[in-house]
Amino acid sequence: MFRRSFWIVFFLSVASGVAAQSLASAPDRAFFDVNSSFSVADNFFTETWNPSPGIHLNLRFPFFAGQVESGARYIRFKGDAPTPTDSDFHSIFVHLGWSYPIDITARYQIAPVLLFGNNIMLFDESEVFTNQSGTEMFVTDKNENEFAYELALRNQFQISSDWFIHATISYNRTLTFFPLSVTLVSAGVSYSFDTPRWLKKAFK
Amino acid sequence: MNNLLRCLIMLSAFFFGLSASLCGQAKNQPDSLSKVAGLLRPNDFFKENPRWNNASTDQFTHLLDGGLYGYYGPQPKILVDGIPIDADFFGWQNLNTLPLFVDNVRQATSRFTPQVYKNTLASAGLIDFKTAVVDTGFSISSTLYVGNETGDPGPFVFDSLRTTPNIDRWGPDGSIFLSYKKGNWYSKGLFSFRIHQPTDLILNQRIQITASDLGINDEFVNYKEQITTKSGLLETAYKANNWNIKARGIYGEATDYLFLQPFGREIPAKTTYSQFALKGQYQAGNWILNGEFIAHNKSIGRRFPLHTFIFDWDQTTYTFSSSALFKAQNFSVEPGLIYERLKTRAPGINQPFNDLVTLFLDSRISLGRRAAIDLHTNLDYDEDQFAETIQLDVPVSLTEHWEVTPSFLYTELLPLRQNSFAFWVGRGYTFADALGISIDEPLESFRNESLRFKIANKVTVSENFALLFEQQLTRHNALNVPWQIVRENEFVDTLPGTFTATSEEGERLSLVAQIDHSLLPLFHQQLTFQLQHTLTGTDRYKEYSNQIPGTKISYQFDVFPVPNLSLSLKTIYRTSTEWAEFEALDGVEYTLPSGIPIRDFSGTFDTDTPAFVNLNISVRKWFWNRHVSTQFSLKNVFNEEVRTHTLGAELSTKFDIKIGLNF
Repeated sequence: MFRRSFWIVFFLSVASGVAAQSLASAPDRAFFDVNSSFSVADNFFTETWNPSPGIHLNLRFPFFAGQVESGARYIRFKGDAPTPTDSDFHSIFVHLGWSYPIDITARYQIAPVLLFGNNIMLFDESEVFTNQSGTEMFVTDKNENEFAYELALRNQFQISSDWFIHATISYNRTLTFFPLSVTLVSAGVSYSFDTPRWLKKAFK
Repeated sequence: MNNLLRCLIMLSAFFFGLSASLCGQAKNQPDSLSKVAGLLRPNDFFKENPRWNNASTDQFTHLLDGGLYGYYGPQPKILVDGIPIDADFFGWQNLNTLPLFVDNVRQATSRFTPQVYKNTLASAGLIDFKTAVVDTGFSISSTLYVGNETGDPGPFVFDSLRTTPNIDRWGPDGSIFLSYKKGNWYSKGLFSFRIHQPTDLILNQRIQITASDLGINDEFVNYKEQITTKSGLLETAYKANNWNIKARGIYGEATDYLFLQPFGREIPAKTTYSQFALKGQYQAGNWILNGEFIAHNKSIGRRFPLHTFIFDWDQTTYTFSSSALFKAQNFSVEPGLIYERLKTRAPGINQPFNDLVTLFLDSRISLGRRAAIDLHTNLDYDEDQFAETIQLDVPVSLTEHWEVTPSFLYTELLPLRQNSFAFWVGRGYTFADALGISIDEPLESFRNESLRFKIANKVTVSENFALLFEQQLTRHNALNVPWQIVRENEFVDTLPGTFTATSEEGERLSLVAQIDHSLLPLFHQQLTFQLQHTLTGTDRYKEYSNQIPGTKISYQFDVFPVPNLSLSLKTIYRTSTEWAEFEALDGVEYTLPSGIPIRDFSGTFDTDTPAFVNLNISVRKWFWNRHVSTQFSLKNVFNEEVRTHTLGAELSTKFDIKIGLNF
């Protein structure tokens, strides 16, 4: 899995190196990204709850020296918690962040990305722990949300005037009592368009 | 050592900013809180003034002390645009129940001495929230806030070996504000709700089982630990050249866990308050005539229909007040009268009403250009006894940059004015019996009596750089201290022991040094040192005073790098406090109910709360001609053990997001 993701990122990097045409993304261009992600590093969290491929929608707009980003990523986690209760859950990471694109060639950019947001966890069931006599109980909530941050490196390659492909490696950490860490590699497409006038006005 | 290092960092940051700005030029003084980042809930405003001492069990409601009566004395009066709101339930006053649209608050004025302020007798100081002037035409604004403390269990809640309890959940809070102004007339209205879930382990079991003990066993399984407040306001006003009139109606309620100090723990309750106020002003030459009528009701009732032990407390107050201010070039005087009628309905209270009358006189005489005499005095009467307050300030400008103000205060406080639980139990209120609180009879009800000498030195180095040094000695000849030495109980932590209310005496010394510096519109910073020390006193007086931190150092830095962006850094260091009433719990372990087959997680009670440094960082950004605002805050950055009450929840590192719309 990790090897596959490495080659995706590597391919984009090499391909960009031979491209020498001008990048169509002017400073006032906005981007809409769609990608799919998969987990590439195991830890005690992902060994218990297996993440399915994720779907990520993201919008980027020019902001100060870089781009402001906002979006959401959905991942379904299926798990085998050491209780009979079904502990599968939906995870939605809603985020806001900032990236700084760096032109490597005319068609190829890399961008370090920092995202902050909330990891909303919707569990299929709630757990009820009881004592032997059943007189005392500890009932857990069916939903949870916790702060999370993500560090990422995005590789973006232009394939037409408005369309791009990108591959990203990211590290996401949710600050629960036992932190939830996932390392993701994602690949997808981006569509570029002129930033709407109303949005430019809003950011001004 | 770490704390010391962080204090040094605070100092370095301050003096770095100072030296940088001395090379700059003087600009305007700050006039508004509207730019400051990190003000998310009404409770955040008192934290803007580091002189308020505070303690909290649930991180949502705070006991405040302005240096005179401690946490169990009267709480500061709360006013919104000069009209008081009484949401004080036996000393439990939750500012988050106020009908405040936080983004509209422009100033939060704090006063720390007893005085009549805008026709309201504030016996323990006050906080007056001044809101924005209504814009011409129709306006609508709304805000949404959520906060998130790190450390929740996440999916590990399903793992009995790894699960942990949820910790406090903050929000969501929502507010909507509408206004319309045409010519000299305006109307405005707002509604707000705020939600808080105090689920920290230290509270978890106590709240669950207390709620169960009080009669909701059937609902124990699905019982949700949550505080919900709702409040609304309607106001209309007309302003002519030389007169104005304002009418206001408000309603607020909270389903809460009221921490009743004589009980030693929380009681699930529903508190409500409502108010109708009419206020007018007329100016004729050098005279300004003020009149005000307020009808106010507050109640404490049952939170769940199944509750068997309930407060059944209901108090209505009618207040009439008037004053006449005369202003000349070197002289001003304002005599006034306040009349209040209290109707208290509660089990065991048979007296139909109580009357209170207050006469007051404020005056200022200028002695040339460099000195003045300020006199503030009032006489309070409750049909039985009198209480008087007199404050004399003599500000003298020794040089163009140096002003010295010696100040003398003598104040008495009537027991009815304090309106405490002990006072009403002494008059027959039966709720103490219902809760099983044994009373050390008789509960003493007497006038508090205090003396204070203060010298304030203010040095104005330049237009934007001022130093303040204050030393004050407070002598309490009689300080009413309600005291509950709790017993330890395995399940609910505390059982009430014997409750006493005694007259204590002692002396406290307080020193404040403050450096205030701004280079607006770029930044504003303030560094405050505060020392509070007990010199002499009875044993109970010393124990009571130990609840207040002896040393506080706070530093605040607000920077506005571009017009629509502000950043704020606030940090406070405070020393340990001691809560002797809870000595029986010292070293006792707290857990979830025993017998549940989950990972053993626990904590240990300690009557000493730890010293801590709490660093908060906030960013606020406006978009679209200020129609949209976003705020992001990071609180308790170092994830220290921020705990202000020995039974209170700990604040973990917390993240806040707030979004506002304004059209």
